[in-house]
Amino acid sequence: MDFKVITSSPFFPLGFVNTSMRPNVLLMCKLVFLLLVFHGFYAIINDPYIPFISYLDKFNDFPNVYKNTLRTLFFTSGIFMLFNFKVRYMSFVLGLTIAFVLLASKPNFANHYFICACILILASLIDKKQTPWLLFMQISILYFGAAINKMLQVDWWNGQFMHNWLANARETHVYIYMSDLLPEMWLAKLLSWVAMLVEISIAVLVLFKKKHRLVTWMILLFHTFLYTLTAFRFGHFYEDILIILLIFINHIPGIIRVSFNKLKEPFVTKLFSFLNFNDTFSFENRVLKNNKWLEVEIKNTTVSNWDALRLFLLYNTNFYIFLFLLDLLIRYLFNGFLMNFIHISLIWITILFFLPLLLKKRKGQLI
Amino acid sequence: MKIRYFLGITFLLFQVLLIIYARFVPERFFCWAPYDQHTQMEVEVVINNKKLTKKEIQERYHYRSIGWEKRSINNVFDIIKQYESTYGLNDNAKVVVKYSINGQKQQIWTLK
Repeated sequence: MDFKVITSSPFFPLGFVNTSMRPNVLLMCKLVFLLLVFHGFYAIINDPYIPFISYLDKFNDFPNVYKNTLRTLFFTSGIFMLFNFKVRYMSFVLGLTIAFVLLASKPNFANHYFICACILILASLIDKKQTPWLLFMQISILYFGAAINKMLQVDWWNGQFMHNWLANARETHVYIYMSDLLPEMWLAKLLSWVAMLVEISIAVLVLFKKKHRLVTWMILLFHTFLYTLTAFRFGHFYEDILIILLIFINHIPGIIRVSFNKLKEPFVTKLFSFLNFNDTFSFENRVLKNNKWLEVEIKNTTVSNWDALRLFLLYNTNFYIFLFLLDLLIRYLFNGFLMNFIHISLIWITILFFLPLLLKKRKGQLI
Repeated sequence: MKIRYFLGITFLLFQVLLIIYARFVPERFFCWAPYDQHTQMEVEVVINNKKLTKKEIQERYHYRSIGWEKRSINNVFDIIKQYESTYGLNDNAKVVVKYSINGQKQQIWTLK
């Protein structure tokens, strides 16, 4: 079987280029749908029960109609979107479906579902040629709301919330140990003030395109630090926000040239060519000088070796799908402490690997 | 394209309005306010002099009856009030919620 016939089809799920959405935005939408599926969102789609809109209670006169309609819409729109069929329409329907699931049940409301609905709806309104400003503004509103709600609570200023959460609710040993070494409530206050400062900073900075690289790293480090400290992902909010960070990847028009050193990596080109579903890259095997093993050329800018690998992975949709599936695999293979330890370790290794992209001077619009 | 952008901006502005609206009501739904309070709570329900079990309370409100509430405790009160004024109107349930916000002194909320 010629796999190229399948992978070059416009309906191939791992193809992101030939649709009406930006590739990174479409990847975000697909991963959000898969995240909801794997986290059992299907199970909470039910008939209205203590709804936000009391009118929805009328559907209880017709049992299972509301439930089955939304379940059908959820899966149909999600699967069609996975297979690149009318992606913006499907994203809108999927987002609206999630919204109606939440509106139908106050007990089921959760911010990690609400953000999924919002970004799917907004993603559907963004043209392929547009910068996703609606999504940037969504992030701003999210962190603005979070910061405002905290800043208006005395218990956030005096550290009471943080201490109660980390010491009593989560029983975070690292926090308890360090807190005992420092003056009373000092650490709690510091963590509280830093959290509020980071959130309001993100809310403001995300509105400036030149600050997007900084904002990406602030969000990534802030939430990863929280996860590391508490071993808690806030439902699947941590995964949601990491997936949303895909919107900050700059769109690169044209082909990215990837050159492997023929002498060192003779067979790698074939593998990566096979996985090049989006024709984003052109791969070649040639002799590279000065001990280079990899070279990447983007818009007349050439980087080599580890920098090249970072950029290659950054603009490779397969890399993010791999991370997503790896995360799921770890979740299903392990439990408790071991699962969190492996997750957190791998996340920090990945962060440290890509950290030079933050520290290096910007190379045009590449990073 | 302009219509789509207008719809998007409207959707975002609606969220801003919800954040502002949240300043005037005790509940914290749809205003991006998770983890601004952490409340230890326990819900007790008595119907016809019979105290419901934790499982029965969970089945009644589709919500936990004991444990940590990660959002405003007023969200829980709102769920209980709405249930008891609609599906449970004829049960004449007596509901008491014992709760402690952020490790502060315990308080008691009673359904009226």
